[in-house]
Amino acid sequence: MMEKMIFGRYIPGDSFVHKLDPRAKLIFVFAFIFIVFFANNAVTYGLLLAFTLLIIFISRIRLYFLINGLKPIVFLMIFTFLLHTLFTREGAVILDFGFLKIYEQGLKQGIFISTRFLVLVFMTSILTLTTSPISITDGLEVLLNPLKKLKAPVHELALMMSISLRFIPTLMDETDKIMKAQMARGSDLSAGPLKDRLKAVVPLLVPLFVSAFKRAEDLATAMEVRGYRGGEGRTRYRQLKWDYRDTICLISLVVLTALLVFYRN
Amino acid sequence: MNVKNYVLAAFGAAIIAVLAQVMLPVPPVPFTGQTLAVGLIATILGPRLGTLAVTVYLLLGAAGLPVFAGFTGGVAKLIGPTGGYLVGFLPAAYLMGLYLEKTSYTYVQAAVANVIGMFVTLIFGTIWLKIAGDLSWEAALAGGMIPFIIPGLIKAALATWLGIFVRNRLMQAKLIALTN
Repeated sequence: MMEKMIFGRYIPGDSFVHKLDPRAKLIFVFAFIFIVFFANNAVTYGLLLAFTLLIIFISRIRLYFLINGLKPIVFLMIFTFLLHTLFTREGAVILDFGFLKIYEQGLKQGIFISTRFLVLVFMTSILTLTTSPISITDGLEVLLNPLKKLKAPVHELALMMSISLRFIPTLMDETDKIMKAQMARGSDLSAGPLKDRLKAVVPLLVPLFVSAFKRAEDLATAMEVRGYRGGEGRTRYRQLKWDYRDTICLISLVVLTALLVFYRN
Repeated sequence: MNVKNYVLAAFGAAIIAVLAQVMLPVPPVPFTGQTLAVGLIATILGPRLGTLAVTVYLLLGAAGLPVFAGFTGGVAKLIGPTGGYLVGFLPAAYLMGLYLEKTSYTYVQAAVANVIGMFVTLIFGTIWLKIAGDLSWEAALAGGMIPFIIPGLIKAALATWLGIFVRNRLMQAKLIALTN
């Protein structure tokens, strides 16, 4: 559980996709999220699916991890699929249960939306499976740099993400300890009247907040003492490097977009 | 804003991430601490820092950290049909914090704030569900709004009680300033 929190879903590797610069991957995935909506017929949806499968193959991610990432979303996919098939009333009736009619258009729409959802989940999963959270944070900071001109606190957001990243495992550990300490004192979250159970939540929350706020205070003081003044003039330990691979990645994006626009209705 | 505020907001995000994984076995709807944590953070940190904390929390999720309820994460979760319920935490946290700041931190006002927060999240989520899922309004409301109102009100009641209770305790411990 702890490891899951530190590395996110990142699985180290040395495939073409792993070696891409996080900036290239982020641009690709965010553009992909938008161009998916160009697809509106069987050809374009097929194209998206084929492209996604190709990337999965290149990234050499074990299918197990992708399917695993799909688990929490399967219910959602079935849910949207059902909402579509049950609520669309266009085209010919395919199935008739008397009280319930399934229409052709509804079924088609349900399949299309499920495919759209599937490729989006796969593509974004590939991003997080092949890139560590810290490089995603770095990439985001560089990509969002232009927003600094609009006074957006880009550097500060990246800093806050790094701090959170660092302290989530610590706080998890802390919560675990607090829970055990309260259990040793006889508190029980899973039995007794509702009022007692709720009351048992308070001795968990208060120490958690207290310890978090104390740590925050210490960290802020340490940063101020060491002369932290924000992003201006700061040098970096982790450097990002743009490579020929990243250019190839963006070219493939342009080609895919062109194909989608060409084949859509 | 100074360093201390940024660090506080970062810890706020970390607290939401941790509490989102804790199951509260409260009948009839056992729920995760995610909604509760957002309400708590808005109550304790105020509108600006609270919203900042939620922003960082969502960004962490987008970066692939399994910080959302049930150890899930990733951009797909955010942009998917139910992403609106997560993104809706942003306006919800801001409005809740703002309302409490403008009125007072009492149980009654906190109850109003939490109900506002709940409806903002639900409305946001439903509109998102309609657009991302390409659904009719009828389907989106039936699937994304109506079934969640009653459990939502129960959660709001709990968040109110816990929020003010924890806030008062933290004030007694002098960990948050009276003005905030």
